[in-house]
Amino acid sequence: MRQRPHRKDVIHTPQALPGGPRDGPPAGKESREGESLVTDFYRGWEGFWFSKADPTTLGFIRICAGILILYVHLSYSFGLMSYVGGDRAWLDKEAVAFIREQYPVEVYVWHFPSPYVTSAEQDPIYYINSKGSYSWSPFFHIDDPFWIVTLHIGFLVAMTLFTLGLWTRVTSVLTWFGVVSYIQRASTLLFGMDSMMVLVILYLMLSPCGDALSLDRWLQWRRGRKLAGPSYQLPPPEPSVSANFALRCLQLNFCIIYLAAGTSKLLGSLWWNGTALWNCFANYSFAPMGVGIYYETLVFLCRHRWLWELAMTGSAIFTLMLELGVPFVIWSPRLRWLGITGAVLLHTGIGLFMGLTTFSMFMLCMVAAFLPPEAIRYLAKEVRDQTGKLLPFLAGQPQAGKREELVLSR
Amino acid sequence: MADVPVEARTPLLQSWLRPWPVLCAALGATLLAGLLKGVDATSTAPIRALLLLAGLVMAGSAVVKAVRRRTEDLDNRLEVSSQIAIASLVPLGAFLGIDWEWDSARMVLIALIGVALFGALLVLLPSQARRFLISLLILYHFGGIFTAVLSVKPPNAPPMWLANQLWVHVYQPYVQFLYVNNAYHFYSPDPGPPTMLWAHLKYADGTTEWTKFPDRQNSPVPMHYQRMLAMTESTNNVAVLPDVLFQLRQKHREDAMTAHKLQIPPHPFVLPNLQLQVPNEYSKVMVASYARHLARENPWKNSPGNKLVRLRLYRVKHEIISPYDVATGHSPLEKKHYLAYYQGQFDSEGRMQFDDVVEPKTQQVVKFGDPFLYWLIPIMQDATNNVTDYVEMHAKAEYQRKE
Repeated sequence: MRQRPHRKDVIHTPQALPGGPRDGPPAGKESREGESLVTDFYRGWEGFWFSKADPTTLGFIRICAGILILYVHLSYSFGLMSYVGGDRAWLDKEAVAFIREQYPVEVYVWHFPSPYVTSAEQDPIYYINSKGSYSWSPFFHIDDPFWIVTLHIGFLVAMTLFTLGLWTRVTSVLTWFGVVSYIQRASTLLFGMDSMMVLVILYLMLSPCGDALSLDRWLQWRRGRKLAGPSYQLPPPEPSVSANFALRCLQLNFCIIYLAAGTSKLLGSLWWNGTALWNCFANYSFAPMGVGIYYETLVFLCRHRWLWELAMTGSAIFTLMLELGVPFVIWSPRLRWLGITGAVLLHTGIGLFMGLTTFSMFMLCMVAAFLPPEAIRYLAKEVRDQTGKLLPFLAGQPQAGKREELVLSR
Repeated sequence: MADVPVEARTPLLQSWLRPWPVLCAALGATLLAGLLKGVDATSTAPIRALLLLAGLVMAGSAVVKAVRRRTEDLDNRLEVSSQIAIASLVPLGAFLGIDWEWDSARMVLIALIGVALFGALLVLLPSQARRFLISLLILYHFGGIFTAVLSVKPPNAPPMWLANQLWVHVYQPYVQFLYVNNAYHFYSPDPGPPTMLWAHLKYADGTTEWTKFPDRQNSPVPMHYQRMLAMTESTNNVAVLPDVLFQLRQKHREDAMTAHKLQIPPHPFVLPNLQLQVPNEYSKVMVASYARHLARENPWKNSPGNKLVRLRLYRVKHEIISPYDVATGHSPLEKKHYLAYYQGQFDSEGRMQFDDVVEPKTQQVVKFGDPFLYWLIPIMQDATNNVTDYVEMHAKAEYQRKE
């Protein structure tokens, strides 16, 4: 009986068809298989990075991330000088100079140090390669409170325009510039949220995130109506390679974050014995232990060891499974909802029980990169129908997706 | 209906907003800033800064417009590529026109020149070559992110050698410039207790007060509280201390306690070698900076004459309450949960007093300073919940005057 050729051969190596595997490999098959592998990889790479995608999802992420960025930077207004105000800041100029110029960068030596010498003769295992860091910020150079406040207001204006999607290509760069300026200046006052914020704005800056759900688009629609008459209908945002590129960067970086967070936890003894999350739930500086019902719940759990162990071990396993599983599961269209729902649950928990609300919301912005544009369009249509003319940038948006289109396959 | 072609909407203003005129205006603004620097560098600094910023924004928008008109036609690619290349002259002009002290701004401008030239090359290349180059860039970028993830030192072992070499020799400028250097090791290997900073301030009239960070009640917005919480973590990096040095410091402390009749015993429930935590150089610099900030922000109390005399700083670990304590009705705010490591005494200018004397060349300690420096000052609670707060006692003690 003749064996069916492998599907891969049918698609990519038609030469193998006449003989098929039963007839033995044709001459040079090895090299053709090699070529096939390379071709497969090349096509996969091309399809992954250089196909076109609808920028509507990016428009949605821009609005969400823009609001968060604006909130984070508005909060700098309370005690602005203590963050970026020269010698009035927590990190004064002397400390900044240390970080920028003196902080040692250690590198391990190129050879294996000999183990057969006394400790006095022992080669050093590392040496200081250089000192300082590649940080930059206009706040390193401005001391005058007037100019600091002026620059702060300027950044806030740029961030507002970016959120609204006005002159987005320029305001996205200014927003990124602003975000990094504060971060590099107040480098010891940062936490995970700032890293997520930088990633999101970096990839949005590279993308056409102003091509959808933006004032830029509304202006385009209004201009079209002016020239072509009231019957003018703006075509859907044009799918582009750059939109796909930014979405892929967000998706991939999200997976790297989860994988790094999950694998590094495997080094921890408390994650292995299932008690790690007690250190989060009962951490007075983060958790809402001042809230009666929350504290009472903890007391109840602590008085019932079985329940306590189940809750702690269960949440630790959930966290580990999610952080280690989502980077793989989320690429499968069938399982994507599972990954997204798990991530939403995890970050809701982090926001509620550990007080890291903005961090969680930035992570959810990254999760949104996995949402299909049809779902966002459907949401935009619903909002537009509800708000009428209140949100002008929703006018002139393309046809909304239908309910049946809300599948997470791309 | 198709989008309205760009050419169909070109009134006079639109034609002036085309890339070339905007690019010329950007170059003009940069040139003007350069001329003003030649006239008077000091008084024209704000105007020059605004002109340079305007020039960069205009150059950026010209590039955006140019790229939007890009097609795969060679003539078009040549034109767009040259527009981007010429746009790189704007950051170059800004680089030359900016004050020399603005070194970090010059770093950004060099990066902008590089990005513009790379962009010009990308546009000029045919599609396949462009994709190849972008693919290399993707590999480089995510390689940097992986290097940041892998170059963190795991517990009880050195970091990955390859990641360390890549970090130092290849990626450090890139990932630090973009601030994509987070290792994402959140709450690992294990979630630990938060760190706080307690400052005990003493004024000329003898009054004292405690200032503690982070403080939820005194934070104007939740984000401020989170930032203060993050800030205190920077004081938490501890250097490895040889046994000999530990024993010498222990003897120095015991001698001083006898001499000054200041009996502060070791903590009964913490291992002896964990009761002395000398910060590394980075944390010492950070603590000193926070001390200077506190001294500047609290120069006097009630009246300008009542000046700050000194402040003492403590790095405090707020231990996580155990399930047993929660079940038996204890509060996480009970004082026994705080482990306070003394970080030193600072004067009204925020300068450290009674520090160790260090030999400048070898960085070896030749004379110990404050006998309690970097030691855990205990707060004890007995079975009947009576608290003995040695931190309070230590903060008020004037033992240094007798040295």
